[in-house]
Amino acid sequence: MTNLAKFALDRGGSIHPLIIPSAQTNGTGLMNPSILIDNGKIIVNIRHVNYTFFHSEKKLFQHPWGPLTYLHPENDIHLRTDNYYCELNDDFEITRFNKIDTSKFDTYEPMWDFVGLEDVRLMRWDGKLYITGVRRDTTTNGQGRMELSEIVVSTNTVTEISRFRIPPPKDVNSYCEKNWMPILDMPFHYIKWTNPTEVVSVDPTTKTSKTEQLGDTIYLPRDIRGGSQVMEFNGNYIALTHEVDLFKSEVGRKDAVYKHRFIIWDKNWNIIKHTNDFSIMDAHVEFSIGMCKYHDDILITFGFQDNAAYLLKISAIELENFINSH
Amino acid sequence: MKPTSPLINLLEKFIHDPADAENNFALALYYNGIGQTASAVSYYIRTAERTDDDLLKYECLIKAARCFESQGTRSFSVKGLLQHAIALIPTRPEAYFFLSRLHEIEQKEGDWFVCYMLASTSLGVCNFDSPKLRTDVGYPGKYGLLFEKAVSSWWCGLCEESRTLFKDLLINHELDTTHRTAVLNNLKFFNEFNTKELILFNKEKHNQLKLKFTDSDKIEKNFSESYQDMFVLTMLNGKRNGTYLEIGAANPFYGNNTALLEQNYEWTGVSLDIDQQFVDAFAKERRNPCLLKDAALINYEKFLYGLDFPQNIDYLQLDCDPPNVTYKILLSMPFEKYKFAVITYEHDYYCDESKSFREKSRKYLESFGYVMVVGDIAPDEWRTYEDWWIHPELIDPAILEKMKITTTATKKAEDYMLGK
Repeated sequence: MTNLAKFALDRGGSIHPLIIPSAQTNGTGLMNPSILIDNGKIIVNIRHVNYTFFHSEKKLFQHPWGPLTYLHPENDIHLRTDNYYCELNDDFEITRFNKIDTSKFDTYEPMWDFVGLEDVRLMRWDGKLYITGVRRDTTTNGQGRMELSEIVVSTNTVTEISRFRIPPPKDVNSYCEKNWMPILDMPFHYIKWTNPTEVVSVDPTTKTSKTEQLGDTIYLPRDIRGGSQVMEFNGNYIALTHEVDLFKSEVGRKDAVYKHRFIIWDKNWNIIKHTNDFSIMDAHVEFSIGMCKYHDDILITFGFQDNAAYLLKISAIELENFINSH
Repeated sequence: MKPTSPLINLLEKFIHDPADAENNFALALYYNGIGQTASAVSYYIRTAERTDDDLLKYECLIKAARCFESQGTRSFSVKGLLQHAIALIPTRPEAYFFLSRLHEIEQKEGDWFVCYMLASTSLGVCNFDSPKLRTDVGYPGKYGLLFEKAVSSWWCGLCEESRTLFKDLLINHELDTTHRTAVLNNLKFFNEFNTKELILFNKEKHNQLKLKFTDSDKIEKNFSESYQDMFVLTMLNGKRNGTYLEIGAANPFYGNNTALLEQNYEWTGVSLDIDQQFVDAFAKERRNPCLLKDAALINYEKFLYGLDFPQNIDYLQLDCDPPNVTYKILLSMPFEKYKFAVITYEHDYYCDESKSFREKSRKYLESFGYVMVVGDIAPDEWRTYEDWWIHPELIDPAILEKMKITTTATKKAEDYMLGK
């Protein structure tokens, strides 16, 4: 399978680790970063979890719980997420990081095992900086809903000042809504689902959402799940999506391989191109929720096995070559 | 141009060949080194699954286990990885050690028996001369497993085995500070440092004395724990009317080093102790005085001058606990003005956590011209606790020649004095 990072590096691109000091994190997973160029500044959100992901990709040294498992503290079954707002310099080094203060809204006892806002994407809509991701801790059955929160960056703090739990536009009883992809230049619009493409608008004021457009289904071997933000690219829209090959080992234990794909839409949200599936940096589980244009380059942020966070730089021209050749 | 960071260099190599085990291992070590243990685990497991080298697989499994250990409260995962490592190379000791130690620390029901089983098994099956691993995994050496066996055997009810193992660890192994402290604490807990029964000189042993001295045949029995009184009299050929300064006197007779001198050879002198009970007992049972003093706070020059001690004093006993206190008192002795013919110095090397005061005291006494007649004296085979010194200007060279030995091994006091 093609390795996007190798393609990029062979063509003048670069790779950059995104690390919060372990004194802050106890060394557990830093993952699934999102990125945005915000008024010329490179900002990143890094997800920190209280667990360590364990994946015996070749099944040679499995955990007693199986080849793929999330190793949380044994005295706390919750899989907890915190989010770190970061600013980067031109060498893509973190110059500032702050754990986002969510205390204004985290006033309840979490009711399910997954706690916190997961896989946060960054965007600035109508002049306000937002984070959006899925939260599953408000009900006892783990119902997942996308949430949209405004954050304010001050000199020494980053604070969540509003929180909107987005109702699904149609099936209000759906179990888990996640990985909706915010459209960077269309405030309060997401690609909720890729194939068929479903564009939804959300309204924090009326606390509603609405399907604006539903496209045709095209043939693809697997469900295309959400990934990065959706951004303008050469007169069209692009996003980096993921798909999951979920299976069980011979003894019935969960395992998975994630693959990735660039999807190109025209301005009317018709899928006009997609790449073949590929790996980002060779791990069986990787996940990208960040992509932005920076000068002549595209910056892609991704998590590696839920345990490490990286930024990959590839020139816009080479990304186009990749899309055309894959 | 700004230099590329080492981590970026490693990532670039990895991206060009992510299946290469060495590229994965290099990243694992880097992340591990900066405390990013989750990232390190990813690359350690990838390395273990991509190398053909069983030793590297083994090392990665242990390293990953230690990453989980450092995150805390993940012992189930730690155990799983260590069990993989043991299954992979059952004759190496490291994984047994960490697994055994984990059971020792957890102390859940049955853990002591698992700890003991693992330590015992490893000591039976492992090759302790196995090739070294590439990196330090934190394994202390064979003594780590002996320690685990010593601790767990006690809680498994094998108390005598536990005592024997702890003594063996103290005597025969170069322990790191953590293990040495733990061994000492355990032996103290077992009351192993206290002499249970004194091995005394008596008339029947007179013929065996290495060097007889004036009126030695008239001594019915001595009092010292380790023949110190007999040594003093030997070096001074049974001198009568000698003088002594006894620091750390304790009991007036039982185990005391000056009772025989006072009782049989009419010596005079002063004893010091910090314990009121001993001082009171002295007042009742001995002719010479014992003063209630903190020996570490005395100006000895003024003290000896005030008591009209001669400038050549026949015997100095230095015996205070712990070893740093005895050494501090040694440093406060006015050796420029007073000479001591015989000194028995208790460094308590066997229980000195720093293992430093024996050497310091030796250098210090040598700097004043004192000669060590015998070092590392012990009441038994293992509690190395004293050095015995003389001043050559005050001792007959012929006696010194007969009594001096230079071997570094622990010497049981009775064997030394009886010439065994």
